[in-house]
Amino acid sequence: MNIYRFIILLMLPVGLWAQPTMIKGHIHSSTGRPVQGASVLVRKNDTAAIFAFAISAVDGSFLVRSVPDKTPFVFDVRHVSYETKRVHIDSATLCCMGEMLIVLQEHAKELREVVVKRAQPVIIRSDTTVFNANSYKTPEIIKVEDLLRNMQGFTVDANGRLSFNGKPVERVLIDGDDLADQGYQLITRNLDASLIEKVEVVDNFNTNRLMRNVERTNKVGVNLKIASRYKAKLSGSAELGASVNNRYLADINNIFIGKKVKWLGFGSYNNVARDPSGNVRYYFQQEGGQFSEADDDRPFRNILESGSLNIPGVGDRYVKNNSDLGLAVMNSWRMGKFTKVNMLVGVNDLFLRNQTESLAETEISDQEKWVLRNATTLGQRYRDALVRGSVQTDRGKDHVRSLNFGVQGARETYHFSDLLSGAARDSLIEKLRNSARSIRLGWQETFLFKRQVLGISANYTKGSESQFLDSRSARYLSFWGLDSSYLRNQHRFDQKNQLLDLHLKLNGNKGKLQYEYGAAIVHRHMSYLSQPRVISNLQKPDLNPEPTYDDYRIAQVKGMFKGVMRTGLKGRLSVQGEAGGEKLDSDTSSYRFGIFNGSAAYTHNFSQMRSLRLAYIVVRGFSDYDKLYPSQLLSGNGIIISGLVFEGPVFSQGWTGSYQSNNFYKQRNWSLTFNYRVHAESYAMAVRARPEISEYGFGLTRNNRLVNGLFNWESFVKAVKGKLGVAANFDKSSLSGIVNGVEGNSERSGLSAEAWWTSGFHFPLNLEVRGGVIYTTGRWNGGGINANRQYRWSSKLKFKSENKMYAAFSWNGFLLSNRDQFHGLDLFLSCPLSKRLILHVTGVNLLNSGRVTEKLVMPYNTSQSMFYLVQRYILVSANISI
Amino acid sequence: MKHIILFIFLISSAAHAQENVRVEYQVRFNDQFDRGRSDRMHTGYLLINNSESRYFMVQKSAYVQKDEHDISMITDTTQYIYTNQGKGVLIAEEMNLKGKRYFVSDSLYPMKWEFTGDEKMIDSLRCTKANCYFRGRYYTAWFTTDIPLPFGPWKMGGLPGLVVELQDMDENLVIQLTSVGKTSETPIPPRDVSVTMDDHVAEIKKLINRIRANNRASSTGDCITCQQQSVVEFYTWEKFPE
Repeated sequence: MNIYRFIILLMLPVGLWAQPTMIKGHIHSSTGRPVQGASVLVRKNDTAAIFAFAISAVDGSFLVRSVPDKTPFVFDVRHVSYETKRVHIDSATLCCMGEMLIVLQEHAKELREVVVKRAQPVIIRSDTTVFNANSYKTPEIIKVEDLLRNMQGFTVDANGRLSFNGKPVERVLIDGDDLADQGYQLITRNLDASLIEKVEVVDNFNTNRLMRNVERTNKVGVNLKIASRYKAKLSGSAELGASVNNRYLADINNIFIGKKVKWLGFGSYNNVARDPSGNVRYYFQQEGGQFSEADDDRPFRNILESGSLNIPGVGDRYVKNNSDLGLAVMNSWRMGKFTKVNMLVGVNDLFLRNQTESLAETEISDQEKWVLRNATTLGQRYRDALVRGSVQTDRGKDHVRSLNFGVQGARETYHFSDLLSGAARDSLIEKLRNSARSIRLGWQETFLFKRQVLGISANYTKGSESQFLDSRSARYLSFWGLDSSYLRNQHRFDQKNQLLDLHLKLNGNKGKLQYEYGAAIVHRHMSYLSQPRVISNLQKPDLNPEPTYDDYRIAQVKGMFKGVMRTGLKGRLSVQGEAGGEKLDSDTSSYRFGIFNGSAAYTHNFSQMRSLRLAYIVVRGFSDYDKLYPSQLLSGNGIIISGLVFEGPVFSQGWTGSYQSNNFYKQRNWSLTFNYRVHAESYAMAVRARPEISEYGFGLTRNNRLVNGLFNWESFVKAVKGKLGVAANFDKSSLSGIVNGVEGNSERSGLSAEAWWTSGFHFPLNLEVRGGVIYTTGRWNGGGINANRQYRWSSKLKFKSENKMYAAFSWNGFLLSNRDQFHGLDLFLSCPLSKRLILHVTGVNLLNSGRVTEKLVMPYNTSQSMFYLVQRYILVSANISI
Repeated sequence: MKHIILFIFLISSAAHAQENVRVEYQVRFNDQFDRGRSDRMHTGYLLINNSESRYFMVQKSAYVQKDEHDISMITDTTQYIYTNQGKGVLIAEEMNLKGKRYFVSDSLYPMKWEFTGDEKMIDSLRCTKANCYFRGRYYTAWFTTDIPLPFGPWKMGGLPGLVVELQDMDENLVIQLTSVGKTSETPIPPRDVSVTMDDHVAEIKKLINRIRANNRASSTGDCITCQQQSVVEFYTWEKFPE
């Protein structure tokens, strides 16, 4: 025997052991009939883990491969018509080297009949994504806005405006009908989420039926499908609640969805910081209304608020007393086969009162610094009324006609009192009343011919606005305690404006090109009356300057072009632009200049769930005239802004890049957005203060640069049994301007980051943990850097007992730079007492520290505000649905 | 995945399982697979009689054409499947590029299942996870040994229990069990099964090559003014090597 043969012989048994063991056998019934189709399982002991398996053949034979040799296992033979046979085996080699014979006892086995109702949370059908609302409802979701916020891909901003996968939502429809027009927050913030069955998100949305054939838009429409059980009858819900410390809530929804008539009615009266009907005023902003809310695009905001922080999450709860009464009714009915009439009526009355104390340090110069203590009380009351409607005729062929009108009125009243304590004591009491009215008429015709759509539209708007400020300030020299000075400013400011807008455009498709061109004539007439009056004990006689009148007439003629080229199967390159001339005449001067604005964008849709967008935007001119005249009076410091500055048209450029990926099925989404803007001259600064009233004000700014980046990632992660998310936001701005008469440069940078984990355990208890940091720095004109940090966290424990009870406890807090901190406990309890009646208990800011200090860093001073009136309450409410 | 138990009750089956089992599935199929997303809902029916089974689907929502260039051959291999485990036979309804339907004999459960050891409860059924690679795609199946029927939807099966959930890695095809009950319907084997899967694949490839050749000829021939060249792409759910 040579050495090789010897080695082979030595290896032979090792090779045999290394081979996986096989188990062969036959399965017979007790009557001797072979059993076919039986499952032969080799399971790990005491667990369900399967090592190997086989299915018996027609003759009852089976062969199980890869059976572990030394490991004990369970030999399991199952068939639907026989009793299961189970044998515990210690070692395959010891028991099963031969052929096994297994005899199964026949058994009238009970087959379980199982019915499982399954809902697909989301389905994508071409351009439409359909969410099954029930998959996203939780007991804490009350209104449609809460529901949408819970759906992957939706984001909701502070004003209630929606976007989906980074695209703005244009309309929210109810069963295909547009009841609210642009002000869809009226629906999303009022309508009870329990009425919704499905949410359909339509990509490339267009309000005009004919345009859908020729234009692909970057906008999204949302269609809310009402559950069938609420249709064809008057349905709705009501929530009534009260607390021992004078909090109350009354909220009513009613809805009728018929074939020809749709009706939505909302009513709310509460003082728990719900402002559902406050969005009546959104229509003012859309239609030249002057009470525009904070607009983040305005560069001067950054100058004023550089380094400031927003108290997260619970800001509205600082309001000591608020009350909100809102009523809105919207309906749509079909008249005949082709005509549809929409009508919307809304009323809102919101009252807010807030009290703060602050400590402000203002650097007058390197040597001099003012230190002021400030106690303020601010009361605001907003009252709005709105009636609007439209008549649309669509004969289902090649012509759509639309007529619309709107009448609206609004009034805002501010009461402001301020007590400053420094070297002297100053008191300021102000009353500011703004009121506005407007009427709008619109007409639109759309024709389809030869695969092209011709659109003709005319709009006329007439509005007026009146502002009145009554400001009383007094200075008490603390040494004598006497009233040493007294000044009273009264100022009335009236504006009137008219706008006539004519548009003609043609849309079509040719091969890979989608085009639109047209022309527009816009005429505006704006007139102002400014009438100040100053009463002072130091400056007698009282100052009563003559009223000043300003009158502006602006005519604009422009041509428009828009082209979208399909590149490959997934890419689209779009170029659009406007060019024309503008003439501006006032009583004292006249300007003529050319205007243009344009943009180029490339969009690559990898799939419905992934897209990339790159865009360049350039503007020269005044694209938005509302910004040209004073939009509001500033309250709180006796300043009235009026008058206009025209130094020629403004010029700005912007670059944007964004990548969106949203995989609904894997519950994973992430996005990366980058923006860079250069405002060579910013029109937002084209407003100045009248120097005779105050030196404080703004001027035209140049070379403003803003950059920001946003990253967001959220995914279901199996290892942590839930969803993990991270969001980071970076912004940096450099703005030049005039503050307090000094020209300078304001620099601001901010970084915020947040991470969260939401568990998805199968058992009733679940957790939600969230933490974040905000870091901002601000610097004015090369001076010292003011920096501010804020840490915040929240942890929420949720308990759900199937159909019986839901409870959530949330512990929130934040820590500020000066180590001052705030924390509070929120709780929410929901108990369904029956199918129609649910009991809610809501606790807000319980166990809180009672006071919050916020450090506000401005370019020219720093201040610390103490919000010490954090309200705690427990509200018990009942929700009834019919 | 949210699921709600509606009701569970017990029925008695005959001793020799002469009563047939009817399994219903909810099917979500992305008919734009590998190109985009357009989900279509179907109801899948699986009839089981001892060693035979028949699976077919009825669509709930209509196919939505993505654009004017999109042509979809709606009937595909997910439509009708017959199996006979006793004879080791699987017959699938197929359609060629001319739109003609015919039955093709295919191999029965050729996929190799791998167990991950994962378990979960779906409704009241204890389910075990198994993975496989089958004709160009990775699939995950959840099956239950509580119902020891080695069948499943579409061409999937051969597991030691009924398939309760099945999905491919990209979730283009998601099949979920919605009910199990008894029925008097019997899986009837299709007639005229004269084509094998190899023949069917060869025929498809031949037609594709012919269309591509035609396309090349028309774009490179006498056409001087042609500005663009058409690209012909074929997408099939089951991928066969070129």
